[in-house]
Amino acid sequence: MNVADFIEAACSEGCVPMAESAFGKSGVDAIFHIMKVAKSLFRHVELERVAGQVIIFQFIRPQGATTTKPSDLAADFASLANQSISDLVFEIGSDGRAYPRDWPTQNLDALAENAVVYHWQSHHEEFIAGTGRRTVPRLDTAARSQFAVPTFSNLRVALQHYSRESVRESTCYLFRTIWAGDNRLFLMGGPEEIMRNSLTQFLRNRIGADHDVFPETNVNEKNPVDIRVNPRFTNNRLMLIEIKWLGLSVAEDGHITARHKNARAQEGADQLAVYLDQQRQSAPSHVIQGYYVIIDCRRENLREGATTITTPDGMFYENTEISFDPAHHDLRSDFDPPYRMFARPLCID
Amino acid sequence: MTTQLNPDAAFDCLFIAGRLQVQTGTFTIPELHLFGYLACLLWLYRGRAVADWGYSFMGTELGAPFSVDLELAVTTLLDRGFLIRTLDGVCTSELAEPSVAEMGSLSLNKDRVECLDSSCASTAALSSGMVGCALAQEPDLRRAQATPMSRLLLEDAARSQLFLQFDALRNGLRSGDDLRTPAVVWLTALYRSSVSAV
Repeated sequence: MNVADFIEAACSEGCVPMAESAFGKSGVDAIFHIMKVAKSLFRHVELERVAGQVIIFQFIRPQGATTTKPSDLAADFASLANQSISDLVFEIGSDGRAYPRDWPTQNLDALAENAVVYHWQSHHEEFIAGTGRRTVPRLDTAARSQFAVPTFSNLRVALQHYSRESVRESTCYLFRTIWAGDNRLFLMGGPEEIMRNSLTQFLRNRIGADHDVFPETNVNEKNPVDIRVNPRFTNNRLMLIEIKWLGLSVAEDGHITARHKNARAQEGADQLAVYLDQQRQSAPSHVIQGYYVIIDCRRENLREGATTITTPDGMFYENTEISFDPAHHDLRSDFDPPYRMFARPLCID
Repeated sequence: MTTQLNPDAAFDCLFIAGRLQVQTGTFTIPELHLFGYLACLLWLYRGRAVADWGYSFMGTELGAPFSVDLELAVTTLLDRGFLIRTLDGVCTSELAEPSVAEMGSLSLNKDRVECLDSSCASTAALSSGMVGCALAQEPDLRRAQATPMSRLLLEDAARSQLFLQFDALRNGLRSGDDLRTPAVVWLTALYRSSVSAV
């Protein structure tokens, strides 16, 4: 597809054009109010903890149709942070603030005849306005909502979040495709490219306003770096990310094709250290920092052909740190402590 | 090298800073350039002349938009206490809001405010990072990336591809006149094209 095709698709599938087509400028105002409120809500509420649905709506017509009264208190999203939540319903008042509401008495299509309605359920989200209904495009494969993509101030924080949000439960749709089976025991052959693309996309969406994130093609072990990150306005800074994975990979017929253990982790650290030295020599005016990401998919007592695993075996390595010798991160200041990211399996007990 | 404060750049800087602070809590200096450039592109979408924007942008070696006038405005506004440095970036002080309100209400800034407002509103639909990724696919910034040297953006010869994309947007949207709609639709399309390129 070329850009014109993407533009055509975005015009016909977009939620904002639908709201504008249904209600004109008032529809655009409403959908932007709703998106802002959703962003604010999802900063406080972890969507994994929402068992039911989220509905946010704003009446467009008739004039003054809002049900907010002067005595209503606006929603305090911070108070929802540690609650277990079933359903959340908010109406946006004429002041642009969100007010908690009971479950609507009419169905969403009927509500949308006079309102712009946002509806989230089980990671699917949509807008309804007038007679139109559009799914919100999920541009970020790791996020649980298009409106739950935070911005991080630096790469270290972003990597910690990537571990928790994308890798631990294989939540990222892209990352999830590394597995050879539903229970996440074995990897498909050659998962490196998927891991690199998943992390690249995650970083671009979260630090991409002030950093350029470039995926690299690994040509050989002398050039092992997977991702380069440049702060936009600081030309002499360069952050290099190397990714290695541990665990077992299998071919399509199920036979094991690679077994990567601790030695592999050390090998990756050594490669990155050598590469950092080379880069320092070739670009002495640059401040270069190395970041080593280890996607840890190790399982205990895993045999070829296994399809299930117990919790003790599946989670055996979750809290088992890897010892490095030499530990480059202790010996030099341009090498961050390794970011080991354990990817949990689905266990049978 | 510009040494005088450009009033348009100073206004844009304060306007964008105020909006980003409300919408995302904090912001960085590259974001001011990014959303300033997006506003300038939306100015072109409205059919106005790039010369009337009041200041120019360059594409850095990394393919990011950068304006010398905006940078000088940021430095001046920091010196004068309108902007304050924080651990994570920059924030506005209490001096900023009255100035923006006063300048923004002037009829001569009406068209400018529409573009700035639509540019910043895009952060409701996409994260700042996504806007950055999307704009990196804008035809002139793509050229800047391909030729790693700083050069002026949006010069005459470089705008034809951009205008083709704007034509495609106008044809696709047909009805409606709210500038926030093409802003979000265009960024979404550019972002998707960037992902397909990874």
